[in-house]
Amino acid sequence: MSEREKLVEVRNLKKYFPVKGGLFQRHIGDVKAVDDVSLDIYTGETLGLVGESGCGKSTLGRTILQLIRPSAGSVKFRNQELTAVTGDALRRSRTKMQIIFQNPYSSLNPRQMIERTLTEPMSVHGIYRGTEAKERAAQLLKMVGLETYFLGRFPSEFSGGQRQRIGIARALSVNPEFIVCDEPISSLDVSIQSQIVNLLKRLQKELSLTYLFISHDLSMVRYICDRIAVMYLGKIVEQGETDQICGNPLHPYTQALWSAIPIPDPEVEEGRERIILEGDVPSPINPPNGCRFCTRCPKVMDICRSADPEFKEIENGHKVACHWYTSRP
Amino acid sequence: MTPLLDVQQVEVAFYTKDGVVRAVNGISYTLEKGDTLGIVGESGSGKSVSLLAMLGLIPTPPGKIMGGKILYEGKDLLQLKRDQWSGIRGKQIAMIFQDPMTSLNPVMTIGNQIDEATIVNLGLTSKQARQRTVEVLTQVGIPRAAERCNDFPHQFSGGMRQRVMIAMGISCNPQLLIADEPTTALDVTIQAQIIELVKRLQKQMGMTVIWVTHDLGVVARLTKKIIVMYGGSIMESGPIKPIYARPKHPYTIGLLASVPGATINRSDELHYIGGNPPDMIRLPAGCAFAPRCAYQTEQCLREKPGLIEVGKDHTAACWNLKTVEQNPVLAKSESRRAAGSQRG
Amino acid sequence: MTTLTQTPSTPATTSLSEERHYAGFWTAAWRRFRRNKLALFGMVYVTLILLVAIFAPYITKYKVEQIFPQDALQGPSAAHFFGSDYLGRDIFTRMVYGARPMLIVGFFTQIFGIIIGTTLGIMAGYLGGVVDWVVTRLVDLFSALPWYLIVLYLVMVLSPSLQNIIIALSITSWVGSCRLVRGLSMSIREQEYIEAAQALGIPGWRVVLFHVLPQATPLLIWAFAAGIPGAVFAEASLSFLGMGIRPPNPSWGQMLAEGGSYFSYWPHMLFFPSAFIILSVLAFQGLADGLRQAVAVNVNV
Repeated sequence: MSEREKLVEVRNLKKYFPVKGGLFQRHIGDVKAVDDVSLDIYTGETLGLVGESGCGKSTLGRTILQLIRPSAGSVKFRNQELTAVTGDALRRSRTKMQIIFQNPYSSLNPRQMIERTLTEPMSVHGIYRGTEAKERAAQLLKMVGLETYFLGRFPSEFSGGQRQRIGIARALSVNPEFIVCDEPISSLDVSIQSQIVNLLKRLQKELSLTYLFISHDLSMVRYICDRIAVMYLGKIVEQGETDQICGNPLHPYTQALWSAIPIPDPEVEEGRERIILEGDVPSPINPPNGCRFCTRCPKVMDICRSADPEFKEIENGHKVACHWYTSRP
Repeated sequence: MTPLLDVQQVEVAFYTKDGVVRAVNGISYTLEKGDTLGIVGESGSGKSVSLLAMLGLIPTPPGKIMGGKILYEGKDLLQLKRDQWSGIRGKQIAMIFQDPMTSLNPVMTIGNQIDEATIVNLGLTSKQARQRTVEVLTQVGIPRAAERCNDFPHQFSGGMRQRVMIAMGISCNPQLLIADEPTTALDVTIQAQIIELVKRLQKQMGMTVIWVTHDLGVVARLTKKIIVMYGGSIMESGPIKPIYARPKHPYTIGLLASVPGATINRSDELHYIGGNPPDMIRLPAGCAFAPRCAYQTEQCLREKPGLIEVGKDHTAACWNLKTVEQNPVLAKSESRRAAGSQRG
Repeated sequence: MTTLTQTPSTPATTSLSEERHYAGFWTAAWRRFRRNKLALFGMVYVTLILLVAIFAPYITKYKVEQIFPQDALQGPSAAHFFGSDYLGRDIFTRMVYGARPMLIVGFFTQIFGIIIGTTLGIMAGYLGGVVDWVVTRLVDLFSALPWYLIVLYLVMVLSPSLQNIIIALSITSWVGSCRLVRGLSMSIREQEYIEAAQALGIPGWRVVLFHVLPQATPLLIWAFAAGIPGAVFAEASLSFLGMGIRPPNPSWGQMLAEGGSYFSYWPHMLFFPSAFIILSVLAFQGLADGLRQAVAVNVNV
């Protein structure tokens, strides 16, 4: 694994959103959306980022892309430090990294024709202009499985799945190497989800793309991703190869998450033992002391409430942040 | 014995300025007391509309009930006058929705909202009502129920709000609980909590439950019987195990195969159903699924298939069941299941 | 190993030509507009009055300052459709020419107001932060001031004339559209397609010009029409007070003031100016109302 090329290198990344309140809108705390996250994304792979709503997975994706500027830490893309890039240079660097959004209804400009949506980024970056850009746009539509005459239409004429394809074509218009897929299938119908997933996989192969696949749908993540990182309350609690995370989940949270996904098979469901977590995810403004999962953890120990567990490699490439594996006598 | 619920050929349409939306096109099923029924379908399949009709909640106009009967304990709900609903809605049949925030009144404490239901439906005094409220809130697992009665909906988390909705639903001891995608907006760990809660309540209270969802996994965990809907019609219905093990209808087959199983090879392409969801204004004359179906024949486009008995209580609406039976996809879904059960 | 290949010959994407064709935004807007009868009346009236103002010399055979001393203070007749005033001037002719300052004041104050309001509103809503704070305070300040007094004062200082009325009215007419555009830009800024544009490296000015502004156009058209009755009214009342259009140039407000003194014996002098002021305000309001309904829903169901 070490010989593989690192495309994105994230180190100690933090994003705190200030919370203001009181009479004079004073700073009264921070939402620690991303709190000290380090991870590597290798060229050509798909890294899955899973976690529940509010765990900071979307913020992490956007912070890597510098759509949200981090509070601290570093993000390197091909050894170039992105957090230091600003203004026009940052704008130009956007061609290398793209994002696909969750909601295909709000991610397309309703008043812009598809042609314009696809050609505008090309002409802004001087990749293609005029008729060349139009030809390229038509080619992109074909690549994502749409008809070329859709160019002259508006987003309102398309179904959710078709819109998502247009969103993918738009991301591809600047020839990126790395794409953050922010829950790209979670708002689509089941029968459409697999179409989009197949498309993403095909494009990855054809264009040698690298994906960060953010999702809460663990069965899809298991299918798409080479490696998986599990996030809880702004921190990565477990990371490893897909087979490691799925076959041998170490962190109690990952175990609970797996057990919570309903499997579409009544026979399996009947005999399944389930870990039902108690309570809700705590507020990221006041995360619990020690391990952030200690309030809901079925295996909680005394040390979990006082000390933050170290993120440690347990087996080859499989890392976990849990006292159960490090501090048990 | 008459079934608790007997739905016969219900048809609902909405008259919009773009045309007539044929939301539900002649669906029939029966439900025995104490059963759990799962209704599975994608957006626009008519699964929610068919249940709104059951509670007389179809907005008319633009909605219109075109025909059919919904017999609840032998009484046709579709014939009820406005003032006859009060004894049924809330008291006999309760409904919980996907988004508890929009179905709870934001400026009223949750205690008062639940009190109101029992005062109106059961004729309790306000003191008795509050007692009952605390009782049901405790029953659905809300800690410090008596204190939390004075809180407003926004002071609860998403999962807790759904629990409040369920508490309100069961406060009058309904016979039938209709849950319309109650866990879709929730996280998986919270969803698991809610599913366990409903299962427990059903056992305790002997309720009949209809659970509407698009998630095939949720149904597998929860119900004994399912109905698969597409384009406002029932595609397949029957006991859950045979349907998941050997689905008969091409749509059910495709839907089940679209979900990646535990052992799927990452280099394989995922099975998918081509095309796009149906346009409910221009539904095909024949089978609603025909335009996307791999087994489509001329007859499918022309004539709507009826439900055909394919096993014990197991029906499917398809003209080409024989051809479908010989398809390799079936075998695959079998092996997927076999592989899945090893994992569980 | 299980292999899930796709089912044979699955029709991939049904061609869109078979699908429902959605009406374009403006087609749908027109359909909604048409349903409002008052709006239709407003549109017809506004078009007519516009044509009358533009082609005034062809509509009436008299000149605007032409005096017929022998015909003074006569009621409506074939020679003078609306009668004549105390100097023997043809009221119909003066009404026709009087539509010009009304429309000029109405249109120009709204155009200036919208240019200023949109610029400030977009900056405040899209950039947020300090810019938003400053603009919001400005809006608060201008909406708290007694604008009529400011306008009166300004016209007094600048001397009453057509362009000074426009300047004076424009100083306060931007507040409404600014507030509107600010709110809209704030909500558009949160849309994912704006984030997508940023992620694609599209420069900020392009995002504002091509992604935010087009969303505001329907609202601006409405704001434009909705602001005109106020301006018409303001011009009429300023002229009524003698602070607006100065004689001999005619204006409806001025004619109303003159008509007031002859009202008891020659009511026609009061009737025509007041009737047309009321009718114009009503028509513009109806038009604006129709436009609001037409553009309010911008999603096809």
